[in-house]
Amino acid sequence: MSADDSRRNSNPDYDADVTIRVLLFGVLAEELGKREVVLTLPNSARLSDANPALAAEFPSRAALLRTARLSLNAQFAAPTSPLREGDELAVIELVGGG
Amino acid sequence: MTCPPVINIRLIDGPLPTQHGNAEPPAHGTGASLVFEGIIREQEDGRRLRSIVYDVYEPMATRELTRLASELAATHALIAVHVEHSRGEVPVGRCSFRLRIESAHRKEALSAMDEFITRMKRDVPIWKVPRWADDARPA
Repeated sequence: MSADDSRRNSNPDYDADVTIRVLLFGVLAEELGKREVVLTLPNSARLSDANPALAAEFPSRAALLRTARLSLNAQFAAPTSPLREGDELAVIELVGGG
Repeated sequence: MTCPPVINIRLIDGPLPTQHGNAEPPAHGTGASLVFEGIIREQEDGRRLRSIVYDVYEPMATRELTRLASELAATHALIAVHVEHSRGEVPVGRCSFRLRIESAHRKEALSAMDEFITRMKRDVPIWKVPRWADDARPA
C-alpha cells in the first residue's frame, strides 16, 4: 500500500492532489528549454497557486513566474479559479504579435 | 435593420501572401477602408535579424483575436474587421500581420486600428522569437 493509499484509507475526507500541465511559449520556452511542465498541487489549489509552483520549478525566471498571467484551459480566468485534474494552463507573458 | 459586422480571422503558416488584387470587396455601407501591414524589420535593438518565428497558442489565439475584433466592432461601429497573422517563420522584409478595418467614416476606423494593435500585443497569445543574422540555429 502506498503512502497516498494509506492517507486516503485513514481519512475519509482526504482528497487526492491534482496534476496539471503548464504550457510555455516563445522566448521563455527557449530560455527554460521546455514547452511544457507538469505540476502536482493540492486538491484545493486555485489558479494563482500555480505561480509559486512555477517559480520554484524555474528559479532563473522566478520573478516573472511569481506574477505571470496564466490562462486556464485556453481562456483567461480569475486567479481564484479552482484547478481540476488534467487542467491545461499556459503562461501568457511576453506576448507580442504583429 | 443593421447588419452584424463581418469578422474574419486567419492564421497563416509563414509570410502573408501579398494582397494586391486579392482583397475581398468592401462590405456594404463602407466609406473608409484602412489596411495596416506589419513587416519584419531588418534590425531589432540594433542587432541584425534574419527572421521572426511566431509561436502561437491555438485555439486561444484565434478566440482572443475574434473577441477583440468583435468588441471593437461594437464599440467603434465598425462594418468589418479582417485579421491575418503569420505563424512560424517570417523572413525580414515580409509581411506577418495584416489588419483591414472598414467603417462608414474614417474616424472610427482610424481609432479602432491603433486600439486593436495595442491590445493584440498585450492580450493575444502570440509570441515573437527573433532569429538573428549571426545565429545559425534553425527555426
